[in-house]
Amino acid sequence: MHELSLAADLLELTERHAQASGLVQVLRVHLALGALAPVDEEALTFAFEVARRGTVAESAELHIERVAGRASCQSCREMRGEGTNEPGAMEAADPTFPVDARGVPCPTCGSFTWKLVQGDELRLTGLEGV
Amino acid sequence: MCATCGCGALDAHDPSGPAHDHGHDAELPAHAHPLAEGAEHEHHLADGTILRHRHDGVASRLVRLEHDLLARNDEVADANRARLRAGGTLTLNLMSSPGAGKTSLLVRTLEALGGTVPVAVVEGDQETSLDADRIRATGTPAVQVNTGKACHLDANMVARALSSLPPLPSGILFVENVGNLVCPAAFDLGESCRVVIVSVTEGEDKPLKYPHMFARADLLLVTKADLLPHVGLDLPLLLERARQIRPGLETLLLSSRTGEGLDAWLAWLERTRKALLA
Repeated sequence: MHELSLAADLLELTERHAQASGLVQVLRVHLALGALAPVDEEALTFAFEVARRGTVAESAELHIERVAGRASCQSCREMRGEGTNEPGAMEAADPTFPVDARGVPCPTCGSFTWKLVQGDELRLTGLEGV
Repeated sequence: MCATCGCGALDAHDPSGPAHDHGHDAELPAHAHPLAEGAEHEHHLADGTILRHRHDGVASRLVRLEHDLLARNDEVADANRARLRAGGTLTLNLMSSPGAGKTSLLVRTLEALGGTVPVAVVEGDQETSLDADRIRATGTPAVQVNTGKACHLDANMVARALSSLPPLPSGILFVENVGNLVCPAAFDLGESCRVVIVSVTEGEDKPLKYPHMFARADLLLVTKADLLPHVGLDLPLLLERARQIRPGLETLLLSSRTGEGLDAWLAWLERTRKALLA
């Protein structure tokens, strides 16, 4: 349940940004949550509803925008010759591919040596209020 | 408080909000509230009546932000890392499920090091100082951090622990995280390396079931090697799965009880410590 301490951090950030922006009441907290972030959406929402009491976001709703995972494969990059001076280096249209879990192989070459380019976000992206 | 209607919910009335009246025989002049669309609030009238209701049509505004939720922890972690690196201290964040043998491994390791390098231990547990007591019995300085309800150590807890530990020039700080394969994965403590410990009794599935923990590991230690003949673990499969999550992951097999594999672990420590100093 590390989501409870994350929710407490989220509300502290919310208080800070609300004050800086002159919001006296926060109605909606926008959070970007990557599909592969080490956070459970349901647990975070529950923790937020507990932790918001007595804060500027007392009646606020947590609006979570899921960010899909995308990865770039190291092995494929090497095969394409990226990062080298080889004259024949090929340019792929979009060298990234969707991932929804860790430990799945690259759909092109079957390697596990990929790195996330997006999908591990845990970011406060906006506050709505008055 | 609103001087017009006595509404105590907010101090200021927003003149840009839509004007309205109450129509509750309250004979209040029309006025506006800066409350959110649909937010429920109360009016306390002079005759003691409490009117609890909502208004619609008051516009809220959106403040756009880009603030990483873990940024504050990461800042403290970076400060810890800079401080420890400047002091030439290799810092290891040891993580495992409860009962994988972290403390036994530490006791055995500290005995084997025998004071040849400066060492200290930060022990994280929800409650008790039992682990720190075991470490101190080896003559090693130890700080027990009780996380209370929290299920993991965070960078602030380690920063506080550092202030009560001696400097460890060219030494090693072992941070034994709370036994948990889930929550500690999200929190950088400022370590040089993350060491994940799995005992042979835990089966082959842990890397796939708890991928976040393995995704950023630098070393996998498989403990309780002396039990291997009795538990039927498919060790190659465990290692294959760990490398599926973390390609190229270094792995070692050892037993704190018999000392099997301990030399390779001590050699890894020495190599990693020297690499940090280089």
